[in-house]
Amino acid sequence: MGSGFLIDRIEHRRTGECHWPPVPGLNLPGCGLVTVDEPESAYLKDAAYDMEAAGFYAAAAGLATTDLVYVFKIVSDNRENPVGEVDPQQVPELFRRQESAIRELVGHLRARSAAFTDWYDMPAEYELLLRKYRFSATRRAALGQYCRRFRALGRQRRLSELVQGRFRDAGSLMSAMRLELARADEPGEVSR
Amino acid sequence: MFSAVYVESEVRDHPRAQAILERYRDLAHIECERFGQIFNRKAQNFRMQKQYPALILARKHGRKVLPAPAGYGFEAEQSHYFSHMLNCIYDCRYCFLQGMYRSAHCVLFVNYEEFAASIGQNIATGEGKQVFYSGYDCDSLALEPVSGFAEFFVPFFAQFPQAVLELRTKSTQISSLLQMAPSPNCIVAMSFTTEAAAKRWEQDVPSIEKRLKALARLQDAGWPVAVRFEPLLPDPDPNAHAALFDRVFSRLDPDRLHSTSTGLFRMPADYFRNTLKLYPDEPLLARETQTRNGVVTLQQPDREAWLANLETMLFRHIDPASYYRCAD
Repeated sequence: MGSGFLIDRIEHRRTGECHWPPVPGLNLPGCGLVTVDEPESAYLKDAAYDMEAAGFYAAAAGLATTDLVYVFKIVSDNRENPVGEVDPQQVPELFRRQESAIRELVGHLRARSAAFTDWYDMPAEYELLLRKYRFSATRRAALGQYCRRFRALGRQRRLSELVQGRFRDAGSLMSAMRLELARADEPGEVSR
Repeated sequence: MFSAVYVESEVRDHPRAQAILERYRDLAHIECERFGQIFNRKAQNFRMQKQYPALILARKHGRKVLPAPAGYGFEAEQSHYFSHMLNCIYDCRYCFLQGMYRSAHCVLFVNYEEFAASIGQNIATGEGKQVFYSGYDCDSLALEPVSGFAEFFVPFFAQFPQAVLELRTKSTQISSLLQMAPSPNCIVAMSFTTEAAAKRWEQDVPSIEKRLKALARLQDAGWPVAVRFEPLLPDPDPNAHAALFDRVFSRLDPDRLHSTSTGLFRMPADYFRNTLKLYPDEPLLARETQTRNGVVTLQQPDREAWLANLETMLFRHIDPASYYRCAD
C-alpha cells in the first residue's frame, strides 16, 4: 500500500491491447499494469491494477510523442487491503509518501519537454514573415524549412535582416532566402 | 548503456537471451509478443529515445540474408547482408538508421543458429566468391561483450573459405577476436572521418586514436583489416583529410590491408526527410543537398575534383588495386 511504480507495460484486460510507456532510466521502481473495467479483487497477475491507464495512455499518445507520456501508479489497494476498504481520507497521505518520486518524475518530464520544444520550435521570424506576406500552403511549409536552416547554419542575424527587408511578394522573399542558403555552408567553412 | 530490456516471450528461455537478461538483471525486464510492438510504434521520437535506449531481445523471422544494396562494399560475385541487430549504440548524425527506424532502441536477434543456417544455404547454392556484410543495420562489434556475435559467426564462417564476412565497425570491442586465431575470410573494417567531423558528429564513438590502436592490434595479430573513409564530409581545414590519411597509414601496414574505401555522405531521400525532421537544428543536415535517383548527397559543385584529389592523396599510401569508391 502506498508504493509508487513507474509503469512500463499497460495491458487493457478487455481488449487485450498493450501499451509500452517509456523507461527513462530514473531510479524509480517499475512494473506492468493491467487496466480493468471493474474494480479488481483477485489481483492474479504480478502487476499493478487500475481503471484508467490504458485509456489515458492511448489518448495522450495521440497528442504528443509517446516518449513524453508516463504513467505513475500509487498502490491504493491489494489482496490484503481490498478496494472496498479504501478510506478516501488516506489518499492524500498516499500521495505525500510518493512526493519525492513524483517530483523527480515531473522534473525529468519538464526537462525532456523543454528539450523537445527547443529542438522543434519554429524561429520567431517565421511568424513575422507569415504576417508580412501571403504564402500558399506549399510555400508556407518551405518557409518553415528555410527559417530553420538559417538558424541551424548560424545565420539568424541574416534571417532577421530579411524580415526587415522589403520584398515584392512571398515568391521574391523566398528566392532571396534560397540564394542566401545556397552560399557557403557554414561561416568560415568551405565545401572542400 | 540501456534503460530496460524488452524480451519477446518466444525467446525468453533462449540461452542467449537468458545470459543477456542475467547480465542486465538490475534493469526492468519487460515482456512483449513481437519486437515490433515497441520498435515500430507510431509517434516515437528517435532523438529523445537515443538518450535512454532500451535493448530488445527478439527472434528474426522471415528472410535473414538479403542482397547487399548496389554500391555497398567491395566487388564480389555475390554480396549479401544480414542483420543480427537493428540500430546502433553510437549516435552519428550522418547515419541513415536515424531516418530509417522509428525507434532508437537496439533490437538484438538472438537466433544466430537460424541466421547461420540461412547463410550456409546461400553459400551452398551460390557460386564464386560471396561476401556477407554484417554491419549494415548496426555496428558489427559495438555490442560484442553482450551479443557474442563475432564469437559465434567468425568460427562459423571459417568453415567456408569461399565466403567472406565483413565486420563493419567503429568499436574497439576486439577482445573476442583477439582470443581466436585470425580468420583469413573475416575482415574487420573500421570507419573513419576527420578528427573534426568525428568530434562533431560521432557521439559516443571511441576516439580515432582508440580505433586505430584496436585496428593495429588486430592487424598485428594477423587479422585482415580494412579502412573505410566514410562518409567523406567537407572539412573547414583543407588539410584535414591528408592528416587523417597520414595518421591512419602510419599506424597500419598498408601492404597488409585488405582494402580501403571511400564514400560520400548519402542517404535515401525519405530517410533524409525523417532525419531532418528529427534534427532541424543540425548544421550538417541544413546544408544544400541534391537528390539523384532517390538518394540525397551534400551539394558540392567541385565534388569530382575534390574526390579525385583525395584519391590522389590516398594513393600515396595504398595500392590503388586495393581501393574502391562506394557509389552514390
